[in-house]
Amino acid sequence: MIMRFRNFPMPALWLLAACCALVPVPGDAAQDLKINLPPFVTYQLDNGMTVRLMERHQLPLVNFVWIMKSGGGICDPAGGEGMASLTVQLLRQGTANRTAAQISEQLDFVGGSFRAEASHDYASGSAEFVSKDAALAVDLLADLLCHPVFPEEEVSKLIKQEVDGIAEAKEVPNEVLDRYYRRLLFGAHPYGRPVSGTETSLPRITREQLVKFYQAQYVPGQLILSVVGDFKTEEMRRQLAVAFGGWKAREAVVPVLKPPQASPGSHVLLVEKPDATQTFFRLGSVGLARTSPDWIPLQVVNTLFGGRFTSMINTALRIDSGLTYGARSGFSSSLVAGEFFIGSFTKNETTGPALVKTLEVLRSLHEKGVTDEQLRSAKNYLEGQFGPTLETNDQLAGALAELAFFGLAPEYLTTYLERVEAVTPEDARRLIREHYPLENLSVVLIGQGKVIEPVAAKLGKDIQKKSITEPGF
Amino acid sequence: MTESNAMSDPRSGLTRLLKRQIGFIALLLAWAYSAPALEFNVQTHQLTNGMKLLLLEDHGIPNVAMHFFYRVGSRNERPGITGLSHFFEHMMFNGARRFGPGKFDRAMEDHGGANNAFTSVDLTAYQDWFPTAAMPLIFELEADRIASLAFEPRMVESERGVVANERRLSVDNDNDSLLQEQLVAAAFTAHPYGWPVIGWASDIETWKREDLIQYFKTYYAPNNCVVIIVGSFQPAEVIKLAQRHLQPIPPQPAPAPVTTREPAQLGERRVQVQKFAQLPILQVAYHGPGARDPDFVPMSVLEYVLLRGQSSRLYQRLVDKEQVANSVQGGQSPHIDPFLFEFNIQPRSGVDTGKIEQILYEELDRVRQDLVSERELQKAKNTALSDFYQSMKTIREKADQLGYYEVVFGDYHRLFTQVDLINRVTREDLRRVAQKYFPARNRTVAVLVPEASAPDQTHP
Repeated sequence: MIMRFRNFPMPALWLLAACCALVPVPGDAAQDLKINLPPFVTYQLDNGMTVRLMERHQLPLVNFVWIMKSGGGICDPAGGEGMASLTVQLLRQGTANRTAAQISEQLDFVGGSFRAEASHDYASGSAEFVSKDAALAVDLLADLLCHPVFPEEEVSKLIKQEVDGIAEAKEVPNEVLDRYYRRLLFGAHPYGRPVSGTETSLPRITREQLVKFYQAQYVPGQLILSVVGDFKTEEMRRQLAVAFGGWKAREAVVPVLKPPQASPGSHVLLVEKPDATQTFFRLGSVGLARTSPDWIPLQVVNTLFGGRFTSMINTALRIDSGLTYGARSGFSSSLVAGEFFIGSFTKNETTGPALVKTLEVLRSLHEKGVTDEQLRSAKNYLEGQFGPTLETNDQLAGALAELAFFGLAPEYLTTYLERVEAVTPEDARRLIREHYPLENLSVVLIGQGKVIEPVAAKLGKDIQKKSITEPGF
Repeated sequence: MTESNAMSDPRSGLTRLLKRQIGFIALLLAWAYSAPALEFNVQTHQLTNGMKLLLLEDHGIPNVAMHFFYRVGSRNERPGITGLSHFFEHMMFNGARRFGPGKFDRAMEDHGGANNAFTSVDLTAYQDWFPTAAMPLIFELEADRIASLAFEPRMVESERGVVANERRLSVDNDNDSLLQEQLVAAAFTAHPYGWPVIGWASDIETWKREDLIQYFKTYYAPNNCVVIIVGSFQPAEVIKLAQRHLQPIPPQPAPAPVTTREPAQLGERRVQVQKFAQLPILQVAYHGPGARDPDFVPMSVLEYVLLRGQSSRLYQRLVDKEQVANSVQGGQSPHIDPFLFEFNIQPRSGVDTGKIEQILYEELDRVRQDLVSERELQKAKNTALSDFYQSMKTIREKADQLGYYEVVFGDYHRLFTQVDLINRVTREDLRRVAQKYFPARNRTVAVLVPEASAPDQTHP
């Protein structure tokens, strides 16, 4: 249906990414912000696979979320970008026991859903089934994860689709902005590679390489599976043991990832899209790891700077000036330091003013800092919007898997709001200083050449240019 | 979307919330591949000014979703003010008597709330999501803007810029949307569904403050609004707040009904958009049934046969077997008046869109001529039912569904018959509706034809 929204829907990052919270009334310091998760068990199968089970019987549904820790894009060989992504997508396209058509037919017949994708850090998937089909779900999931066969024709079909998919994505600048930004920001670091692959890397990938990739990276010891919903723990344990127990333990090839460093100086990348009526931009620097002790307090500061509708950046670029439909800032949730970004878009004519304004707001954050009132407001917001982040089975399953991936204890979640509440004005000042750099910024602009070129010189000396139709990012 | 609710002591809330998502749903009896019934314990209350409240307690999380559904959308507009409904959706955040420009959002976020809003051809919805303790404030905020919205000229102009940017973002810079705008405009010759919700660019530039004031008075009357409140609260307290804050707002004469009916289409229509692009796009639309038409549910089930899942007929044919398309999407969505059943196909590079059209029509002929198999029908129903339940997992989603059924389907009780209606669909029903809605003369075809270079002028 055709609908127009006032705001972009918040990114559905798994759980506590950037938005939400419990309830304190303003001015009223929090008392009990402890969160009690429903009980869950964590255990390992003999082959090393990690399992988390949480019963919730309100709805007759069972949700699965799995993370293959060694299946992410950072495991792609240089020049072989896209392998992790193809591998995870091909899991459902044929196994030793089922053809692709049979898998789809079985899934669709019971109204089940199955999604799988790769990010830089890992490969992951989610599935949802009616609880009476839980046994089928476990069997199917194990089959896809343990016995995929990567049929030749499915491989070549998917590669062609993915290449076209990149062309399609390049028609919509917002879809590809981050890929250009990461390339510029992280350079040769694995975080700079596009997980999707490129128009040139994808066609070079062969079935043999994918089979090898799968064998090297998909091992039980690297798999986290969380199941939340309407099942009996003992029965689920038994089903999982049967389905996954025969999967033999192997060593995975896990690359050691060094934290990326921002390279000195400001860098500008201009991506020319001749039909653009707007300029899309993203700027920022290297951020922090998800496991950093600063991550939670930083959500408070970022709520104020660019994490909600009345944030400083959205106020300046949208509410007060009408320059854009939306502007925000954020930090990517990453194993090692990920990206810090500020992003927006504006019509061609106001490209310069919008960028100037963005940098002004960033400077003003350093000069003015945040007030006690603002801190109170941000905490209320995070607390008031927290509940909805853990409302459903899939959210809880995602949260449990994610905690296991990052090696964070459940207390990370149950004390989240207490740690939000504990942020002091001094903390805020330090966080601003350390995580909102004013210098050495990377800036990507996608737009018409004659619009973005004149702006570039004001942003930095190192200016690269490319056409959006050029392969890669 | 997700969200939630709760009054009383908000702080102990999440515990409760996570522990006992009590609530609501459904006597999901055995999901015997037949019919788990769904029933919410909805309480209704009509204020004396005609505003209707739908209340559903759900103590899963200590939050509330309060959605205001106004019975106004782009179907209530006319040439010259197209897009005004959507513009209003923005203006409602730009200041009223007590809470001036920017104050609505600020007060809401200061107290832990968040909001969004959307406009469709049929309705405009305002969605407030907040911790239960913020409930009194939310009533004050909403009452203020419904009773006394300001139309500050400065805010009108600034918001005009925001919307123009939104149009550039979501239409001009999005080939799918750009093509769809042309497709819909060609498919409707008489009915207001033909113009885009966001409005034509020249209307966005030129509508006047007086247009806004008149529109507001007519359509933002309390008697033209349904409020759906789902979450953790005590209904008696909420009704008291509504009586105090919303009831004093005077009703207005009922807006004139939309009486235009789209005449039957007499032959295929074709449109092209020529534009700088790397890939073509193919969209095909047939006039279909409105949400209140008995044919709507069989057509929904047919949508599953044709389009939903990798085992669906069109995915199998176009994407999997013949590999002429990268994706095929579409279907129908509920509308008050008859709308369209659409196919949106992303061709593979180098593939002639004519070939894809031919395959699409072959598949549509198949469902017109032959009965689908029993298993295929069952599969479609199972997926449809599964999607139906999955669309109501959160308090936000429940509030939206109740609002949609009340406003678009005509009665929220209709939500509770959906399962039964899906289960009752037969193979013969599918063939009958396919024959009725998929003749060639009933379709509009839109093709985006890529050009190698962009015109020097941006969008003349």
